[in-house]
Amino acid sequence: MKYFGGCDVGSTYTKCVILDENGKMVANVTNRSKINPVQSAQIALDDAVAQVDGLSSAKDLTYLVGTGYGRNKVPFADENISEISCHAMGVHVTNPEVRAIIDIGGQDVKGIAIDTDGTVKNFAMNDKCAAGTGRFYEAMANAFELSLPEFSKLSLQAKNTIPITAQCTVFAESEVISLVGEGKPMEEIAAGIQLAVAKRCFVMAKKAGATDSITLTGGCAKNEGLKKAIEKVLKIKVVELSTDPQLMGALGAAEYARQKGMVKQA
Amino acid sequence: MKVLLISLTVISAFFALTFLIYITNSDMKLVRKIYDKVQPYYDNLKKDRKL
Amino acid sequence: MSLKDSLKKFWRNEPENLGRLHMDKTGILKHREWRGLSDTMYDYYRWLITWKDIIVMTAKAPASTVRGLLNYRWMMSYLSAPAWVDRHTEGLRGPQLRITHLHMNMLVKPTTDLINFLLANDRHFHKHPKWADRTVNVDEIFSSEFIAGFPNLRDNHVTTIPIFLTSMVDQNITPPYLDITESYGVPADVCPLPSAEAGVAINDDYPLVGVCSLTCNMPCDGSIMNSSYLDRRFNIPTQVINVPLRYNGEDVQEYAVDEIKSAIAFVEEQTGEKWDWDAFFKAMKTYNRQTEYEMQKWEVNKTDYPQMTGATFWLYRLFYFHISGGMDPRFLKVDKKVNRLMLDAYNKKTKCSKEMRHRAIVWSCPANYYTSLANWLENCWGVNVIMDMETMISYYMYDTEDKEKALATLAKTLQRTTMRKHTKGGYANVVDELWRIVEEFNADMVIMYDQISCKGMDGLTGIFDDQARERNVSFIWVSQDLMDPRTISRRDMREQINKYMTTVLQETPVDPTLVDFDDTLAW
Repeated sequence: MKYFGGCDVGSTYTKCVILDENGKMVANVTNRSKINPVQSAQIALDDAVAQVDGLSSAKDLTYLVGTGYGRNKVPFADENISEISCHAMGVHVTNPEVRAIIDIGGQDVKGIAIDTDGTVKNFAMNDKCAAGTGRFYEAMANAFELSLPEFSKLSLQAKNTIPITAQCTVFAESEVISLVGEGKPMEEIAAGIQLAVAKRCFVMAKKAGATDSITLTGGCAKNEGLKKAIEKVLKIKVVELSTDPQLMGALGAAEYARQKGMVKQA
Repeated sequence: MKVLLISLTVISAFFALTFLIYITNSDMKLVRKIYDKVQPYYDNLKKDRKL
Repeated sequence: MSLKDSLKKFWRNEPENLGRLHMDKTGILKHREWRGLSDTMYDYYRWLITWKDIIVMTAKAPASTVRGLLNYRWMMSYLSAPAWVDRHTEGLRGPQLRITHLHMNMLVKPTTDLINFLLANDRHFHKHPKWADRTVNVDEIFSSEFIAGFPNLRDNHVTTIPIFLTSMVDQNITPPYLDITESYGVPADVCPLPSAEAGVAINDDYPLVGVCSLTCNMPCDGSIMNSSYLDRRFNIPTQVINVPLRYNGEDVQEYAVDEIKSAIAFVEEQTGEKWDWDAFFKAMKTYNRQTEYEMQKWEVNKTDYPQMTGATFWLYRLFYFHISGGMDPRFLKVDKKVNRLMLDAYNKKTKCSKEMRHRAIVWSCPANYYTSLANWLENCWGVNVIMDMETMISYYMYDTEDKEKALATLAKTLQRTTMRKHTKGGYANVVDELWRIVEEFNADMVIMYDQISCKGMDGLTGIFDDQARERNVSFIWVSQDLMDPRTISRRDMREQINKYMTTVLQETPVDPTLVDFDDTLAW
């Protein structure tokens, strides 16, 4: 059996997926990223390889594709492909009906329009500002003194929404603290935060022309409150993925590895 | 004849030297060194900033 | 490599692995390109001319030049002019190399003349300069056609030599001036163009030249802020010319002409000189000839064999429009030569670059700190920039007999200068016009600059996206910060394009060595 690897070195998390030659996922890893992206990739890969009986080291992989945030690449990979392409492919192999992605990573937000073969039709990204990204949510969860999973569910209990007007993560945090200090209902503040992020996501999606059959990827896709807010803003139901949305980049990279590796072997 | 020879020598030397400077980009390498060296001078230059 | 291949490369060497020529961070060339014997000799000859111009500038006024170097930070940047020329000729061969050099030299020559002029008449250094009472200061977007009517006067585009042009030659000249402006209390999110220009004023780095000043309602509030700083620094009588923004309307033209007349009256009053119609008409005849040559370039670029690609298209246009105003005969000589080269190459169906994969229109204002982006596009991705917004400034022909008609054209020209032409005047000028140009030039791609400090075109972002999708045009947004390379570096700008080319168009680069490199410290 041949195995193909995909490694996605994100700003916050490093993910690794291994597929067999039939496209079945046989290993997946999600680790917190270290400051050294190469080290992050190596550790994640080793952890993934350890999950597969037929592999003793990463060298046994038939093909390895790396991807990542910014210039985070996997230098020992056979090839590096852009994270946008990898996310699109990852979603495509998970659910070929999906035509658009909102990817909310640790430090950026992307809107991606996908073609019928899993390639990218267009994309838009905001990688200059942390507002509306994973970093933003970490700051907000800290301000609420909750864990991220706890925070993500909080807004679902809200009957009303208190709008957050600050555009910047830093000022939004100050605003939230003030609102909490005023005794405003926490769930309504949380709903305001989710709505603010959802609006940003909507803009990215619209810019990329991605407004049909949308799904969410990235760590923030697991945020139920955000998902609901996005559905409200977009006025359509977000497609649920059967695989962990945070793995889409690595999955797409592994799928590219599988396609290229099989061609190479033939 | 002598004048011609001297002229040719001078022109050839000029061509050889300048072409060497040109192709090795020595002119810009030198300017870069000077440029980097003078930046602190400009940073510390006292100017009348009252408008 | 076999002997045959070596001889082939010696004779005619196609551009490849250009990225390997750059030193890390500074971008200094390890050595200049070997372009094949003929092209290398030509490039060498042009390099001698550039240095000759710099040396002559210094030799004409050595004391002033040294004083300038000792007092003005921006002077040092001009010593890197040969590198600026190198960036714009990278990868070029044959007629494109020659055309670009002719154009670039017509940027270098007038610049050396202007530097000489400014330093020789700078009140910082001279008590009674020769041209002290005969120079009219103007904004950088003011075109020199106006001063053609005053043959005994000169105009001085105040901000051009110290900072506007310098920022194109050396990307790192602006940050110190931006820091000065911000230390003065101006917010950091003001457009870096007026901010840097204000910094030069605060730091007293403008040569103090000029007896009076003509300014105008610039395209943005930032520039109006800058005008007030300039006013305080120069402390000379200033007249504001109000240029209509709805310039396609006939109902504003009478007002526009009145403003021109008031500007003429102001200059006459301040200088004692009288407007000279003969001199004006003479200059406008030259200007008209230049405009005819310009239109021919556009016509050739609409065909399958464009010859004028890259930044020198708009750089040259800006120069003869704003600085020459029909008065510098050298521009016409260059136009004739370039025209001949261009038509000859067109008739021979010469390819303008190694690979011609895409025909692109560049829209919105380019980043001063990366004027050679179009060269990189061509060398790295085979994208030929065949037209751009800056080139498409006013192309009105002047009536050279009827005074009222001529004044009306001058008024219209001012309304259609750089930046103003497309970013003002309404939706039709910036959106509809783009698609008209895309169709006329048969372009399949738009490089859309997104100047992040400017709100001018922000409101149309979604409209551009939607309409690009409808037209199936590859629309690549390139964010940049006009004159501040720290916010979005050249590398970041390239990365935005790289992402689109690899992800959406799934193309492989023409020259992979150019895809990613660090030139943060480059000029």
